[in-house]
Amino acid sequence: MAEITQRRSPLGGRAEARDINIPDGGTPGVALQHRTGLCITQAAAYPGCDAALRASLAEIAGSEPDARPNRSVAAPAGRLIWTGPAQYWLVTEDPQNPASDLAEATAETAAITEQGHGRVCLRLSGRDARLVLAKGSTIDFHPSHFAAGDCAQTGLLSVSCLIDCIADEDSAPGVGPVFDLYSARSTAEHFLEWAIEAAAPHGCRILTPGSGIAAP
Amino acid sequence: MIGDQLRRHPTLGGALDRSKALRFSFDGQRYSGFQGDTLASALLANGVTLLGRSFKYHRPRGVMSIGSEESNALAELRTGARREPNTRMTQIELFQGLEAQSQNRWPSLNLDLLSINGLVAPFLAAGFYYKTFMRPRGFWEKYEYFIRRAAGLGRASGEADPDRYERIHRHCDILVTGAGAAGLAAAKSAMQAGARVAILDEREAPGGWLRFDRNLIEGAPATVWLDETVAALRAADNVTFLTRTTAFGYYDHNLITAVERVQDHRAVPDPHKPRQRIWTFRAKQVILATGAVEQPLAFADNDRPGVMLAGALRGYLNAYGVMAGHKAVIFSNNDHAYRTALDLIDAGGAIEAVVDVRPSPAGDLVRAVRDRGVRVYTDSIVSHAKGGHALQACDVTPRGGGRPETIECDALGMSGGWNPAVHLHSQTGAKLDWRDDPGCFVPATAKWPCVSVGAANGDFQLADCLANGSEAGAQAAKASMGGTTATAVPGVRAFREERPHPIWEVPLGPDRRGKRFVDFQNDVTVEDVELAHREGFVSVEHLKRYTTMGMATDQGKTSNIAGLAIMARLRDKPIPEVGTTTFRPPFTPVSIGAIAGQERGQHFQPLRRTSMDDWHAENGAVFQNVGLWRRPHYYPHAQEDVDDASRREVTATRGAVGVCDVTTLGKIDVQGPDAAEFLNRIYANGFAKLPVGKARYGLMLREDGMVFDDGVTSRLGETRYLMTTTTGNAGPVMAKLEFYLQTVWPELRVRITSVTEQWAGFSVAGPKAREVLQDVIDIDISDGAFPFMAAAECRFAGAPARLFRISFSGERAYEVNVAADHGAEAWALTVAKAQALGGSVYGLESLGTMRIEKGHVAGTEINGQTTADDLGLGGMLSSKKEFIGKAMTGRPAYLAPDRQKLVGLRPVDGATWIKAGAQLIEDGAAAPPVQMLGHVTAVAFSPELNTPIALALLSGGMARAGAALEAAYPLTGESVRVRVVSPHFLDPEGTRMHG
Repeated sequence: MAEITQRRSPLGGRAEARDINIPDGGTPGVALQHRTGLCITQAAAYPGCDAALRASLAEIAGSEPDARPNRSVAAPAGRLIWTGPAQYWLVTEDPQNPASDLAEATAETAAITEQGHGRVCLRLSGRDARLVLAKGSTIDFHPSHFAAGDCAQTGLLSVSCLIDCIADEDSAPGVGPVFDLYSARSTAEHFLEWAIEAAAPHGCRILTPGSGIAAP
Repeated sequence: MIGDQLRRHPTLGGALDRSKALRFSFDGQRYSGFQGDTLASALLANGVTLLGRSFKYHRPRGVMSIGSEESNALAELRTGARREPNTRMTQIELFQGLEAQSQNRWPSLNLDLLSINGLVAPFLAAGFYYKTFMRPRGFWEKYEYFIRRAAGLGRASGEADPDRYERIHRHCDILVTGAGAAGLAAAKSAMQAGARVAILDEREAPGGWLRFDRNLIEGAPATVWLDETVAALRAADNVTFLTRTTAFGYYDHNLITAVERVQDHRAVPDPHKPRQRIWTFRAKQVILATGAVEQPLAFADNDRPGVMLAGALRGYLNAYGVMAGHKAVIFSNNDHAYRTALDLIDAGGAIEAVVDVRPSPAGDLVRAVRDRGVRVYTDSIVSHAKGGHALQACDVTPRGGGRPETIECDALGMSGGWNPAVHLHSQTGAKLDWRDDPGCFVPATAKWPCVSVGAANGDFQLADCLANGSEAGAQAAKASMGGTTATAVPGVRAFREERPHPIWEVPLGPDRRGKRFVDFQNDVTVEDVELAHREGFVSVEHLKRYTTMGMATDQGKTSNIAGLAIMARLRDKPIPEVGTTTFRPPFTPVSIGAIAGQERGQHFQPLRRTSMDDWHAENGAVFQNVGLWRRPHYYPHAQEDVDDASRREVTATRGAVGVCDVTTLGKIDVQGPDAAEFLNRIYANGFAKLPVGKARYGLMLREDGMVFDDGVTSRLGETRYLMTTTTGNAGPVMAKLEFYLQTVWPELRVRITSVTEQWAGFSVAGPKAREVLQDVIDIDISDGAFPFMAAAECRFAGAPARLFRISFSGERAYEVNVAADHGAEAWALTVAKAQALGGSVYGLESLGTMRIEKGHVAGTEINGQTTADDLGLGGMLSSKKEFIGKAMTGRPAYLAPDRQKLVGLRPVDGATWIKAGAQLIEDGAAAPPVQMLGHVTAVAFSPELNTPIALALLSGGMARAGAALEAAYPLTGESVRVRVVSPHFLDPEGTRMHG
């Protein structure tokens, strides 16, 4: 009996590396990368257990999540993102799936739910990345309002999306801001097509799917 | 090539790049122009003055203005799918190869046979078709075809728009609309204060009238200040500077929409870029610097080609080097128009006369014109413009009466004064104030944090524009950010101008001939306004609708004031008492494509695909959209239609095994120490004692006692459950659970999460289902170890999975959930095994057939009007606990014996299909009205029973078992004799699914 071990992204080969509308010798205004192999572990505390959950997360992820709304934190294990009152995502990369450890640590305090297969993540970066986001969402993406460590759950065009700013003009000079965009798996193809169309006017480099900070 | 730009001045024309000659065509004739030209300026430079035909009378028309207020010079631009009607030539930037056609003429612009309408004009006055074409009754449809053809604008291409569009959002501290003198001064001071500024201008080059007028700022040509200011703004990090961008809508809370014509100046847009882009601005402060619109004067035949606004005449000269006429006459009620005379003279042109309605004008500009030796006719009017396709002369008559003097001329610049472009201010619902000097409406108190500056506020002197703009920018920055910034205002010489004399209509000359147009685009004359008054349409809103004044694509920018001023005179009331009509978005026309943005075609709405979608597509599935999901409807072989394919799929499933993608079912993870209690309150049947490893069918009621949704919930661990919902109700159920947890029972230690996306799902149904799965699942699934309604977490070929022994088809069946990234492979593997055993994949059609055979209810029965009892599920309602909706289940109406309840139907003849939606009645031959007893909710052909079957909601339900009724479908006149039977057509004991 053959084993199924390889994860298959909903984007298949649709997000392979290529350049779109980048003139010879020019630099792309944005880069897009499909981040594959992510483990997304949602931890939602039961009433009165937020502090305990954050302590457990600190133990497992190496940093405590920011309890303030719409804030995210870079932890040694991955990214800790506020997704609701007393609710966080821990985003890590395969093969370190922290879900069972976390479930064990939080058995009395929180519900642990895996979401890594249910989301597709596009990493958007570059000098015009904020303009691309502004084509889909009504929130203010100016660096003074949306910088590294800020996150938002909003709509991009017509799909819902969690946007996590993992680097900005100050923290990654020369790279431009870097955003991770998490959206539902079922609409991944629609989402990618939207992102490419919105990015194309600025010159878009699609990087090989994988992980790591993508920079034009 | 004809034309050769004979009217081009050798040196003037600051907007032009004469090193870049461009070729273009108008009505098939080829011409040349320069980079920087508009289509209007290039045609004028080539001596082309006849540019269009009017809306109703098909009168020859030339260009009237130099901006977006243009009402005459409309053209169809481009060809094929990109053909765009009603574009204003004054705003079309010339590009190499531009092709434009005049519109609303037949067969040609020069010889337009429909200009005969002018001869029958007395019959075509305002409202003519209300009066003329109402009889005989019913003939309107016939008249309408011809009227619409005769009175029309351009033609849409009728093809799909090949270009792309997008929308973008922008927040800012200060939004400045208009980059003329006032707007630039405002943006500059706001920029210097450090505010986030956005400034827009509708033209390709900013500057507004700084480019059309000759002015000095700080002793140098105004363009020097203009260039420096624009460069500083463009270089600033805190400024967004957009040109070719028109703010067209101003909504609540300082939300302003604007359209940027990103590529309209290119023959073929770059495919990677949008043709147009809609900006939505959210600004803390708005500064409206939209300028003003010069108003025409309503004298006889004021629409002859060659008659244009005085400002436009000099604007074409200064910006585009176009001498629109060699012998010009200026007709004015104000000093400002004298600038045109000065500029034309200084450029070498001849001014035959200036006609001023005022008795003794003596302002600085008037004196300067007189000093040049120009004859100024005071206290006089132009009473008639003469000519056909081009202006040839005009009659000048003393205002007090007398013999007209005919003056030969080929250009006539008219000016009835300027009216602020108050449209955006007015769109918010804010009021306007009338200002007697200079006789115009100006913005009253703004509704939102907003200020109008410069000409948009009635301040027409350049010095005022710069000073007020600068101050407004600083104040807006202070209001949005705090702090103050000193602003330096450049020095400008102010001219002493005298008060204009308000005159809106000019009396006809002694010949009493000619049409005095008020609204040029909709052919509304002074006489039409008078007619409206005579017939009782005296309110400005009625006037507008009766005469169509102000309702054309120019939205009355050059006609509304005159129209209501004439009505004020007729009603003997001051103008402000007559009021104005309401300005509404858009300020200028906006293409539908731009409004749709990216949300068109495949992006009109998102399409949800399951993990197995590629497999379905590659294997020939015919898809059906279910909400946003697309699901396989059936998988045809060769020439099969849906019935053939479904019959084969059902037979294979019931005979061997079938595999169906059920990923779309809602899946909700319910966790917590109080999860059992929570579910027990949500569901109408008991869930408190569901053991770990077991699944249970659950029924949810609405608060009013009607059935809300159904599904299977499994207990995967002590504190963990997986709830499934119907595909359509996944969102609503999730929302309802969240609502109860957050607001009604916040004390419950329960958290819920949608995991619909996390897990791919498929059902494996049929007598060989276990055979398919037993080798790939890592747990014992023998009937003893994994009986009907068992549930477990497991591994499917090594991948994380969940297995449920549940059945919708009535067969032995398993539902497999696999982590979604493994879904495609798990599916392919399962299908291959099933096919090897003689099985098949099946789609929604077969799924529906099998559920109807089993009498399982779905969306057409759970329709919001059915109770659990109606659906035969009344026995599930627990009497031992409270649950949502319980309190209402005992309402007398819910217990009435004649309620419509679930039944099965079979055709009496055993062969005829029953129509879904058919009404059930006693007697097909009865004369209406006939009592409706119920309706058919679902139909199928049962391969097993070899007969069509149906489910229905029938008054009295199974109390009518055995009765013969008529299933009537009046829409197509079909009717079938049916017999009422049990809804459980197949294996009512459930032997098959229990195994």
